[in-house]
Amino acid sequence: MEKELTTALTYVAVAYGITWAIIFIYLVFIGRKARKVEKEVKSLKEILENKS
Amino acid sequence: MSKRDEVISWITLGLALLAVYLSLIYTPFINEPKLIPRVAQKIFYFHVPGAWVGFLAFFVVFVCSIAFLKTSDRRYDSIAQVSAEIGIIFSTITLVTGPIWGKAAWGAWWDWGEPRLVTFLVLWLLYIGYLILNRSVAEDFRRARYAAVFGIVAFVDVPIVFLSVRWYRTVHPSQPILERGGLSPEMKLAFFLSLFVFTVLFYLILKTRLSLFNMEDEVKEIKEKMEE
Repeated sequence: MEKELTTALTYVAVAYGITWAIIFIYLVFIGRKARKVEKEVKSLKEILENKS
Repeated sequence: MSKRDEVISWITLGLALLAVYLSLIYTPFINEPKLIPRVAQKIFYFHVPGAWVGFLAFFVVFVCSIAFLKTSDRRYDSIAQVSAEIGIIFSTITLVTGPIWGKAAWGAWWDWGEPRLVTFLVLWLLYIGYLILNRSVAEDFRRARYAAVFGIVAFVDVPIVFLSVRWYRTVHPSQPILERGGLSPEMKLAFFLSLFVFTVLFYLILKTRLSLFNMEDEVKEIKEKMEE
């Protein structure tokens, strides 16, 4: 009985953990990408300013 | 992110925590003699909303693909690409949590004879294909047109996934459980709150990802001009 309950709770915990981990990882991916693009925009602006 | 979206994000985070509490602790167990399936049914509260957002995202791809073919407006192509990406993320949640629930309820991770599972996997693969197509054709307008046609054709699988449990007698739980009022008021509250949270998450991610996508496009264009 106790072993069954542990198994069932493990299934639920793993499913919930994976669900929120997938969303969290995707949000981190977007955040990192945003920072990369912001850096690129900044460097492009500097290049254009130096040209003019 | 605008102030309004920031407020929505914080409210969504609060509601997400509430949804986790409601689905894990507040809701009663289903009537099921065996302990493992009875407890594992709690996966339902995030498994189904994940599928719902996947379908919603692919519907947005479908509508935007038609709009792009009609108007050739690049904005529709951008929305379709971003929406497909988010749709894959949420479908992945369904595709991963499903086998865990299946193992607990049926004793097997996967059943190739189960139409809902197979059609959903095909749907996921179709949109992976959609993203690959979007990254593999060099000429921009041609790529967008191919992707739009693919986005329309791929959507055909969505109603097939949805109706597969009605067309075939399967072991997969079907949506008529909801229609027949098979859920108690507490379960309905937890389920619809999760559905709401996932839908708002889709809206917020779509908006954020779209503005980033447009920025990336602009950077690419500026770089191309500078190289010329």
